[in-house]
Amino acid sequence: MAEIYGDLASPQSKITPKWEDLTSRLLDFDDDLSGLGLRSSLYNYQRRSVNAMLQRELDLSPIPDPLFIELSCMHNHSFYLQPGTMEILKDRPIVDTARSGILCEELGGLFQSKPKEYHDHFGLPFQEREKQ
Amino acid sequence: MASPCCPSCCLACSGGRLGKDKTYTGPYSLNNFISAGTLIIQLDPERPEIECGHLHADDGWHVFSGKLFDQHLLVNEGFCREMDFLITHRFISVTYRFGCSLSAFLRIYLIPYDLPNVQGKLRIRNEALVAPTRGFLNNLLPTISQNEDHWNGLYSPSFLPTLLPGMKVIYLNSVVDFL
Repeated sequence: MAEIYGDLASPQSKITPKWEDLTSRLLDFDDDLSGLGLRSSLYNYQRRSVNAMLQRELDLSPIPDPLFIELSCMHNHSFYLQPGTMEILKDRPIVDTARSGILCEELGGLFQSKPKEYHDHFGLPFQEREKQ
Repeated sequence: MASPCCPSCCLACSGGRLGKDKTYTGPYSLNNFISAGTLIIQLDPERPEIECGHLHADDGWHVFSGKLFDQHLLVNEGFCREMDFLITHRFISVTYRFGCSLSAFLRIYLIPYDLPNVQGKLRIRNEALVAPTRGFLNNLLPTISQNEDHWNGLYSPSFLPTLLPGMKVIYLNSVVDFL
């Protein structure tokens, strides 16, 4: 399981409709976020995480059921499989979203063991940027 | 009328005396199912020939039945029993055509739970049916190939199943995107 989870990509952090002013600033890594009342400078990955959490709380529009995976048939038409129940559908169900969730992040370990790769991937905190 | 060049037809079919085509147009027509891919099975050379059913399905291949093949496979291990269960309870539909070297191509069609014009019957199946189906489909789906040549009853170098590559990772990604 650890290997499978290790290969997973992070959730997509998107601009939230009706909250573009805030969420687009979080995802614009050239924006220093002044005026938002933040006490700490955020790493880029933390900005994405904050935005994902805001998105989770603010955007309650229905979404395609994430329990179904999309597959293609021999004629390149999509169909959907729920691997837990093996239910097969031609049309993917739409479900309501819900607020709240769990934040899963590996804190610190990558920074200590691979500082260069960490900086290349996640970017430097703003204070360090200013020193450069 | 059965096709004179169908490799699965007996002499009587090929001669046009017995063979007939299945022309079903209701909701359970193959055209309404999901053409998932192909499975190649190896036949036992020690066993007698498989009887011809004299019947072509909508796709021009013969209608598969586990009972027909049960005593004729090189490796069976419950395969025919599981296929018959899935076919009988309308989870899949299967057609076949004989290949060369004692093998047969099986076209696997998945029957979606949201099949139109069946009054939702496939969505409300008894749990006693659905429970074993999960295991049987779990065995079947990863073995299905989406190779075009196999679908057309032709051999090609690749025998690797392709319908569900890395299914667990794909599935977890899908759920994590949601979370």
